[in-house]
Amino acid sequence: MLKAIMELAEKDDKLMLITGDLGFGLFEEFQERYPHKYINTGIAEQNMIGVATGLALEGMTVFVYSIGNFPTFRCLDQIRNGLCYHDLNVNIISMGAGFSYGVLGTTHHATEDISVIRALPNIDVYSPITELDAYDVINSVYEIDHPSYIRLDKSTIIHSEAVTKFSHMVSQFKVGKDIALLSMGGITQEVLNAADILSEVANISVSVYGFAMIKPMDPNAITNIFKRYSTIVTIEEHVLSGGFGSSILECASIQHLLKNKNFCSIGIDNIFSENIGNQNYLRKLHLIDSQSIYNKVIQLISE
Amino acid sequence: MSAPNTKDLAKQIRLSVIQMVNSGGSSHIGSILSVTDIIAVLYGSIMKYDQQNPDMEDRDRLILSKGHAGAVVYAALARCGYFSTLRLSKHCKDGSFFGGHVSHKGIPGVEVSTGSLGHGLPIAVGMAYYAKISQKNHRVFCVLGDGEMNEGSNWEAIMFASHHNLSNLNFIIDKNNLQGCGSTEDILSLEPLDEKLKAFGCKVEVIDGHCHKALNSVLGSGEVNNKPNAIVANTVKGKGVSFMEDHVAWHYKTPIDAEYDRAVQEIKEM
Repeated sequence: MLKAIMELAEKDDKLMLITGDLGFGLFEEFQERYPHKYINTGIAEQNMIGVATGLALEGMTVFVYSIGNFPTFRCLDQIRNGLCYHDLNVNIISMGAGFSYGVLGTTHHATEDISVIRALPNIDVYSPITELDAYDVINSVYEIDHPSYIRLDKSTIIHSEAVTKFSHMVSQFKVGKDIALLSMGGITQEVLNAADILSEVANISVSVYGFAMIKPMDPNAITNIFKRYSTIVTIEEHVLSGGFGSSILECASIQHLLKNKNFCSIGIDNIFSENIGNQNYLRKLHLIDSQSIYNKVIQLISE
Repeated sequence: MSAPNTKDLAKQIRLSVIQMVNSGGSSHIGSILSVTDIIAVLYGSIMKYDQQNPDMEDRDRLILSKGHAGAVVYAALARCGYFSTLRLSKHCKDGSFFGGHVSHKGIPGVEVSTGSLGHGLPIAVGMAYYAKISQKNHRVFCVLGDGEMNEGSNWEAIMFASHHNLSNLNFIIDKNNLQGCGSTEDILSLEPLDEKLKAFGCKVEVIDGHCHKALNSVLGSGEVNNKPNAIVANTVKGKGVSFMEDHVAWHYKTPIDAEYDRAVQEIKEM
């Protein structure tokens, strides 16, 4: 992610990187090399998005960095009326998707951001899975004159690369014939593990598709997947209300692709996780770990 | 590109806005009239702009952060030649661009859409920051309501503007002492506002916000300093229409029939 921004900063005088006083140990080199392209606006997210809006109205391309709920809920009105209504090239990089910061407590669990942000007009939503995805996404949003929201997982960016690029922002990580598992972001590692168990234990041949872009949803990718498989399962480290599974379902529904399909969304129930624990612990607790995904898929196809 | 007489411009704006809220059945006339002289002086003699080329790069920028007074900007833009005054009759009508809160969509000369309070100043600060690092000489103006100073985002923005020495930023607080449900001092006291702004690192001027001479003097100052310029403009809500002056009810009411006729008459006699 940072490599891509550094490369863009090198060639673009109108690029600005803003942080809301987060990213200690991350931005020092950038700050040293491009002091005039870096602002730490302090712990003041509303002003941070306002300043980004003002800079972008003057023609700058802005990247804003903060953690999960802070560059989203803390300044949602500014994102809506400033960035989205004025349709500006401001790109919010939100670190700590889902339970990335599990031990830091409920305030730091970023589990409702996709539903809320994707409801806003003009803004695109990305969920990079691999490091290469993150690099591509940064370069892509830089070129697109709209706001974007980039949801990054703190620890489980997958290092193995996709088998094939299925479409612009959808990668196929496993190729199978019985079931399609659709994933996004860092939880894809759990999905890949679940696919292995399904194959080894239950002899089920599974395809895994990873979506690095959630909005706009790629209608051709959805059409192709729904035409190939009768059982489709989505998995997300996010509440089910309005999240990734909902996005897929909406897209499939609009295109009349749901007839005779066995469809299920796996995600977090619409509750706060009041338990403290690391990401793996909380994934197990909320039944989105690989074993739970396996169990739910088996249950779905046994019904 | 200045109108010759800011007092005439203010009168024209007042007549336009009364007509607009009357025909559009809209509200906030009290807030519109309190800020009218400030807007008239900005467009009439202070700001650099080209109505034929609204996006001119070195134009001065104005953000009306108290977006509920949007009609005043629409009227000023029309009176200054950005578009025909005939378009003002569309105010708050179905299918119109001219909504009750100022919007940039379809309206040349509007820099930023506002309406949710506390948004304009942070954006103005971003614009001023850009002008400073890009060594541009244009100025950035932002007009806020005093009730709007309840919003914490303004104080975030002022801290940032001071920290970065944004002396090209000029923000004017239209201090009419009334907000949504009553007096600013009763609801969430602002005073001592000038001292607070000074403590936040601003160069502060307190003036009569209806005195064109004072407005011209303070806003026209090209004095170089390293602080953001805060102007506390003491005003009267509903200024120019006796029965509206200093009454919070005119934050919401629409002047109709005899009230409308009397308001027009009083403005003509101002």
